[in-house]
Order: sequence, then structure tokens, then C-alpha cells
Amino acid sequence: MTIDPGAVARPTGRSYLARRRRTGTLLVLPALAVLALILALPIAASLALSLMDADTADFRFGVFVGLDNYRTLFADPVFALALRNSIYWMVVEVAVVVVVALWFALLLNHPMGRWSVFRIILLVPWALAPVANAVLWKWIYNSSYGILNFLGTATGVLPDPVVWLGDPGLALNALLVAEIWKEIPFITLLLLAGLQNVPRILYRASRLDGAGPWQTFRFVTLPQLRTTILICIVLQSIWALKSFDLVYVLTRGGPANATTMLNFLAYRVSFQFGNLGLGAAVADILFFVMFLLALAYVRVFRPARAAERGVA
Amino acid sequence: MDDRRLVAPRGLTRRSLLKRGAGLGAGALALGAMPPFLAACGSSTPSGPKELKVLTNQPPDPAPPGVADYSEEAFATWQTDNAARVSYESIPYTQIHDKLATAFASGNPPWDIVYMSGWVPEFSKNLATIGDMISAELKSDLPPSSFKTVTWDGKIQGVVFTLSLMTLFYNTEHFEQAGLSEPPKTWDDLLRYTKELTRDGRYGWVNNYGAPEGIGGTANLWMSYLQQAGGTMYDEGGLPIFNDAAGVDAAQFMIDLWDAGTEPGSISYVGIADTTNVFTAGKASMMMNWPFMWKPANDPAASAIAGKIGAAVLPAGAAGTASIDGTDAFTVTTASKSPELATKLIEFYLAPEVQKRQVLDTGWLPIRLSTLEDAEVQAAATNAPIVLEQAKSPYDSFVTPDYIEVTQAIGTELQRCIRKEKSAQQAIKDASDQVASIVTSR
Amino acid sequence: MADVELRAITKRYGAVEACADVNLHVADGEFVTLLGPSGCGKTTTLNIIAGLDEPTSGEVLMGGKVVNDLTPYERDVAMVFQNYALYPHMSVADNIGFTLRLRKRPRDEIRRRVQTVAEMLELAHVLERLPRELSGGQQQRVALGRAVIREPAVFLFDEPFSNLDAALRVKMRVEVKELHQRLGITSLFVTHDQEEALSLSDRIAIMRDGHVEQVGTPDDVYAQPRTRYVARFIGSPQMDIFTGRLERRDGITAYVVGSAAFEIPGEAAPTCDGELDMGVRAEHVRLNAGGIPMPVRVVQPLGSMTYVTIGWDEELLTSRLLGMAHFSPGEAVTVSLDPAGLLFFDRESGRRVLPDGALA
Repeated sequence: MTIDPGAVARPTGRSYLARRRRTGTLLVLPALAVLALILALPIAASLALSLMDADTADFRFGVFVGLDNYRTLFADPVFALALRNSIYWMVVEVAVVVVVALWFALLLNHPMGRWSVFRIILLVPWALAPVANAVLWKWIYNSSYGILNFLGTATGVLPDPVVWLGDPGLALNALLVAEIWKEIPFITLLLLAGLQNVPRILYRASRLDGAGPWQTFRFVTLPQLRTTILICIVLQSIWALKSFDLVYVLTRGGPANATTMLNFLAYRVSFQFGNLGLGAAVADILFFVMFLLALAYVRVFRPARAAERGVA
Repeated sequence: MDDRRLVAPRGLTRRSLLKRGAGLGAGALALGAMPPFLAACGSSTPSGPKELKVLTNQPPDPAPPGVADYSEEAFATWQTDNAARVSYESIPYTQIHDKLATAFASGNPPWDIVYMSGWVPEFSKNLATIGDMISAELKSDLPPSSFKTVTWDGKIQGVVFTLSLMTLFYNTEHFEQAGLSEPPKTWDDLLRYTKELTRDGRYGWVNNYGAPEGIGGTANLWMSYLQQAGGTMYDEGGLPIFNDAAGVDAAQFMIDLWDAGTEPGSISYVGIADTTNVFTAGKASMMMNWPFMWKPANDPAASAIAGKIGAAVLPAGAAGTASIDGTDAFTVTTASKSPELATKLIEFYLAPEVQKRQVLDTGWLPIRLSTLEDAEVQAAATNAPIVLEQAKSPYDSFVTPDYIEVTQAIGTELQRCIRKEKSAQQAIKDASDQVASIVTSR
Repeated sequence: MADVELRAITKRYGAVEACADVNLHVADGEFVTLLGPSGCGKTTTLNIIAGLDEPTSGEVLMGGKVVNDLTPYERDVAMVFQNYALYPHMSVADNIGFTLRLRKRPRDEIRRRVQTVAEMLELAHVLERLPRELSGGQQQRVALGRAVIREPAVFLFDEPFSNLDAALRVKMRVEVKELHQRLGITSLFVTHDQEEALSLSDRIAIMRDGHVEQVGTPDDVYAQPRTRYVARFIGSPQMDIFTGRLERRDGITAYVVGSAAFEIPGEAAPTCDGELDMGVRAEHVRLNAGGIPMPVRVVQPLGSMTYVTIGWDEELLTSRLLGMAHFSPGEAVTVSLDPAGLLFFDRESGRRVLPDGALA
């Protein structure tokens, strides 16, 4: 007996698939509706708000002003400074956090670093409430009675007490140190998980091939961590742009706007100046940048998946 | 916006409640607003107590009875007598403005009474005009100037409850060591004193220039010097006129004071608490401070210099002494459905016996002139006469609806000239230009 | 090129003794298999030779020199791992050439040598692919290529075929054997598959619980197992072992199991008698050539031969007949044993009893 598989299988198969797809759609719809409500709606509302002249006292009576708010921003030197600060902050934070976290992850992955106490200690900065962390650093940096100046002058490293938060360049970098201190643990854990996913057999193979520790790191560990590192970079970039607590508690954006970044500016313009339309414009520009980063994040996964499909 | 007042006194139907809750992007705040409304529905029957919700400071910033420890029995009695139940939401001073801004934007502020510090013009549309409801007796016992910061468009929308002007605090021990027998009287004195007191690892002067904006911020501090130099902020039409000799002198004086020996951390301190900590640790000899810090600064548990603090009026510039107003006031929101009762509560806060306990138990000066003159009060609050003396001279904080934006602009420019990034002239000119543009776009 | 010698190698992990006094000499150019079930210590032994593990005590010698303190690379050994251990992010060419790259060889030399190896292993057309784009057999050949390109003194194979299907395994066996014949490099091969061991090796070391039970040529270990354990481990189907008694009565020697007794020619039995285990391989079990009647239980035709399982209850015996033999379950046959194929073991120690009654 000869059977044409297409003739028999296809009609029932198609209707089964169609039914499957319809059921699937129905099951996903409520979730989509919720997402639309809690994600799409606020985003749309925020975009709409950025096109209006609206203040906190009566923002429901905002007037449509087109792109005026964006024009105002691009002409504003404070916005330019905040943008510069945000980019500097993001680049330095991401670079330092990822490099130091990778180093920590390598130490923790080493047989001598496997003691669980190390991991608990590592998590302390991350577990601190953001504002508690900020207050902690405010005391550390206090120029008059902060521990940093005390230790610095007691050991002779600093000839005189330094006003860490008083000099524009110093203040931004001082905040960065505090931020980096807090952000390292999570990225370390991500990278540690990545390291533990590297098949140990590859290290044995590379030893037999004659690779030293550095060559093993360069040719085996690093390429194997590539995806994890990319994810860390994108995630940390987004988190860096979102930084707020340290600025709010330590410097309020000063001195002379030296630590004002986009996120803090959006807050200041919206809730302190009461200019919701302009504040929404700042927030939407920030949103746009983060959206691009999120797209990059999604793309990071793509090449590998496509290649895997290619084999099958 | 007035439609709200038509609904409010009658108690709410479920439908109007939903309508109010539908404010754009205000879901969480609307929910936060519901409990008191629901309580109000229950209380529309004559028997139940009326609920009043109050948003206020946390101590050490000035706060009413029930939040701070004074006049508690009188407060309980008042609630019983008026069939009212008062509930407080007390949060740190630095958070109050932003909370108010979001709540008012939502259209559903959950409070009947809110604390105000120079924001009455900004939130004027959301505040009830209570001037007519306040008793004449109370009004006549308050300094007329105290209504300046709570009046907008000719409507009195709040009552200041503590006389809060900056005066000079100085360390008497440091003065003795330096052979100084009297507080500085003029700008020249102050500069000279500052130089002389800057020694032994400590500084003559300390201030908080870190946060440019708001009451007590860099710009507000400069306003005291501006008035001492004989200047003012705005002309009749509300346009800035501070870009003159007085404005530049005031900025230049801040620079000179810096060079003479202002504690270097001053540029980084973002609040009066940071500054007071340096002063009470004995690391600086003089500062401008609010009266409410007098008591904690003299508390041996919190201060290394308790009992060694002198107070004086601020040193005089070309036009004499002058200060700035802390403007701590209570206001009633337009959302309150019991504005009369709320006003009565404010009057209770300002009752003579409560005012007296306020200063005796917490150190926050009263605003009632009769209480300020009270011998017992003057004996306990040794700085009270000084503050009263200071109050005889101008003490304007120049509050406007865009106060934070204006002070942000001026304060940032002042930070630049204190840091020598630009001259006092340039900074004041740039600040004036920015303020002009802010004011005209209002 | 080098010989490999293990002297009293012991490896302990806490209380567990993975290797217990392992002694082994692999001559230059020899192909030796370490054979045993999982957990017998064969992979640990191999890792110790490679330098990936350190022995607790004992010495590893290569070319007559102690290499205990040398790195794997300095020992000049190449290893093929069970799951290939290819670098997933490198192309086939890069995988094979990696070791040369680490040695900073010139680019064109690397390319030339990779090409040569790739052609030898039929990988020339996949050089630019990533490992995950290859079939299992190709991946295995890349792993071989990576070992071959180094021209090492010693090849180590750690169960290299266990991830392959049966047909591919046989094919790779041929390739490895051919490679060894061509290059003549000293090789140690770890496997749990006795057929792989028999087919590839010059000599086989059968391991059990961390020690070497017997070392010998495939002939030796098959025909002259030193212990019951070796006898059962080598050969397919597994040797049948009877737990009975050797009796001599009235000049007749018989092996008594339960109610049955096999008569054994005197010269085939050891001189001692009593409680001995008796083993017989399937090819030495003859059917219908006289002897004891027994029922057929299961018939497995395999084409070139047929396995017939016979016996009562628990006492079963497998016979191997050439070609396709036709029996039905339940059918009665007579069973006799080829005296030349009988092996006797001391029940207690498991050691083989030689015809003169001595223990092997």
C-alpha cells in the first residue's frame, strides 16, 4: 500500500494547528491587555504629556504645544550638561562595574573563593536599601567628620581634608564610586553564573593544548562569557541611566549642576518646578535611549539562536 | 476646579468618587485618597466624629501637637469637643514639596490641612482662602508681615505658626578664646571675626550652599544679604530687579566670607542639619540658623557646645540688618470637605496656651506676639528676644509660584561664583536673565 | 615517542580510594586499553598520566623520566575527551590549530598542518564551521585532529566513542586503529566496552575497584583470565559460571550442579576437587552431541550466529552456534561441554585454578 503522507496528514493537521493557535491567542490576550494597561498606556500618556504645556497645579488643563518642550530642552545648557553627565556616568559605571565584577567573579569561581561567606559579604552592598546606601555614603564623604577624610588625613594620604562633594568633577566621581560599589555585586553574580556554565572540560582541554592562565582566560573564558558580558553591559547601562537616589540624597544635582543627570533633571523639572510637560520630555528622551539599549539587549540573544536553528 | 466644592460638603456618592479617581496617571494617589472619603461617607450621619487629615513635618522641623510632644491633653480635648478625629502623615521636610506637587496634580490630595514652606503662591489654586475664617483676635495678635508668604493674589491662604527668621548663632567659647566680647554688628565685623576665628583646625563661618533651591537654600540665604545691602528681588510688575549694586554686593559678600574662612564643606551641605552638625561639633564658630535649631543645639545629648551658644541679629550691610523668613505655615486644601473645622484646628494650633507649650517643650518659637512677649517664654527661649529684634527689620523670602525654579537658577549661579567659576557681577547678571525668562513665561 | 610507566600509583579522595597501587608499563608505540566498569579508577588513572590530576602517591614515568611535577603540556601528551571538549566558539580549523597558535607558530605553518590533519581525517570541507554545526562523528574527528596535530609522545583517549551510536563507533574504531598503525604513537585508551578493548589493543589492563586485575594481550585475557571477574568481563555473551562441586568417584570426574552432573575428562579438570566454580563460554557449549537433556528457553538469531539459552529455572546456560540455527522454546536438546573450554575458579578468592591445582 502506498500512502501519500501529505494527502492524509495535511487537512487534519492544518485544522489542529489553527485550533491550537486560536486557543493560544485567547490564552495570551488577558496578559496582553494587562501589559497594554500597565506599560503601553503610561508610555503613551507620557509621550502625550511631553507635547503639552502642563504644570502640577492644573495639568489636566494642559495646552498642546507640539515639540516646544523638546525645543526648549535642546536649547537649555542644563539639559546639555545633564546629558553629558549621564553619558559619562553610564560609560564609566558600565566599564568599571563589568571589569571589577568580572575580576570578583573569577576570584569567587576559584576553588579558594568558593567559601559561601565570600558570597554573602559580596551581597551586602546590593542588599542595602538604595536610600540607606546613599545616606551611608553621605556620611563617608562628609568633609568635616566623614570617615574618608579621617582615614585619609590620619594615614597621611591626604594632606588636607577634601570636600568630596564640593568640587564638580570630584562630586560626580564620588557619586560614581558609591554607585559602582552598590552595583558590582549583582553583575558579579551574573558573571559568576556565566563562569559556572563554562564546561570545565574546556579548561582541561586548554591545559593540554598548552594554554597558560592568561591564555585560558583570553581564549576560553572570555569568549564563553561573551553573551553574559554583553547582557551585563546592556543591563548596567540601563540601570546607570536610572540612577537617582545618590544624587537626590548627596548633592541634589549640585554643585552648580555638576551631578545633575537626565533622570534627576526629569524629577526636578516635573516635581520641583512643577513643569510636567517639560519633565515628561526629559523622561521620554531617557526612555528612548533606554529603549534602544533594550533593543540591543534583545539582539544579543539573536545570533546564537539563529545559528542553532540553522543546524537543525 | 470649583465644581469640587459643590460636591464636597454633601459627602460623596460612589459615582463622584469614581469620577475623581479617574484623574490621568493618578491611580495610586487616588487610591491613597479614598480612605478619608470613605470615612467621610460614614461620618455624614450626625453621630460619628469628623476626620481631619494633616500632612506635616517630622521633628526637628516644626510640627503640630500629636506629632511633636506638647499640648497633648489639650489636643485630645479639642478633638472631643469638636467631634473630630485628627490623623497625621508626617514626613521629612525635604519630601513634603514633591509629595504635595504630585498629590495636587492628581486632583485628589488626601489631606485637609497641609504644612507649607514658601509654596503658597505655587499651590495657590489648590488652597482654600481661610483669611476670612480666622478670628480677628488671632489675626490681631500675629505680626502683619507673617501673612506675606501665605498671601497670593490678595487672598490669605494660610497661617504661619512659628516665628522663624534666621539669626546669628555663635560659639561663645570660641569668641572668648579669640578675645571677642561682642557678636559682629556689620559685614566688616563679620569678615574680620571670621578671619580671626578661623584657626586651630576650625572655621569662622559655616553655611549650607549645597542645595541651591527652596527656603533655606543658597539663593534664599543670599536674599538675606540682598536685603542687608538694600536690594530687593522684584519690581511692582514682578520682574527681577536684583541685578544691581546690592545684588552684586550680596554675592560678593558671600565670596568674601568664603575667603575669610567659611568651612570648605559648606559648598556640599544640602541642608541646615548638615551645617548645624558642623557648628554643634565645635568645628565652626558662627552660622546663620533658624530659631527651631536653638533647642537641639543646646541639647547636651546632641551637641558638643550646649550652653555655649550666643544669638544675635544678623550683621548689618549698607542698609542695616535683614533676614529671611522660614514661612512655616498651615493651610487648608480646597479638597477638604470640612474647611471650617480645619481652620478651627489651625486656630487651636495657634491658641495662646498651645503656642506657649510649643516653645517651652520643643523650642519652636510661637508666632503670637503676646506669647513672644511672655516673660516665662523669654526666660526659656533665650533666643526669642533676638528673633523678635530681628523681626523688626525686613525678612522677606520673596516667595512666588515658581519659587523653586527661580531659586534653583539663582542658587546655581551663586555656587558658580562662590567656586570662582565666574565673577559676582557675571553670576548675578546671568541669574537675573534666567529669572526674567522664568517669570515672564509664567 | 615514549614509553609510559606507572609505579604504585594511588589516588585517594577522602576515604575513597580511586586508584590503589596501580602498576603498568606501556611500551613505546604500544596501544594499551584500560578496561573496566564505571568507577573502577580507569579515568582517574588516565588523568594522572595526563597530569590533570595528581596522584596521592606513586610515580608516573615517561621515556624513563619521572614526570609527576610536569604540566600536561610539558608531558607532551594529547588527550581525546569523552564529550570531545571542542571550543564551541572556534571554527574547526581554529580548534585543531589552537595548540600551534599558543606555541606562536607562523600562520602559514599552522594553516598547512591543519590542512594536512584535516585531509587525513576527512575534515577539509568543514574547516570553517563551528563545532555545533558538525555531526557527532565529525566532532569526534576534530577532537582526534586536535590531538594528532601536536604529534605528541603519548595519546590518551577517555572513552572517546561513548557518545556515538553503535555503527559510528565501529567505524571510528577502525579509524583510530588505522591512525595508530600509521603514526605508531604510544596510546592509552580508556573504555568500559570490552569489544572496543579487544578490537583495538595490543594489551588490555582490566581494572576493578582501583586496582589492575590483569594485564595481557586480548588472547591472554580472553582465553587465560586470571580471575572470575576478568572471565566474566571479557567476552560476549558473558561467560556462564556454575556454583557446584568437582567430584571424583570410581575413576570418573564429574562437575555436580544441583541434580545435574557433567562428566569431565580427567585431563581437563584440575587435580584438586571440591567446591569450585566452573565457567564455560558459549562457543564451548555443544547441543545435540550427547550429554544431558535440557529444554530450550530462548533463541536469539544474530545472522552469522545464534545464541541459544537452555536450562532449568535459575540454572541457565548459553550456547553459541554458527549461522542460523533453528530451535523452538521448550524443545529438548542434549547439552555437552567442550572440555578444552572449561575454566575453574576458587570460590573464595575468585582466582582461576590451574590444571595443576595451583591458583593463577
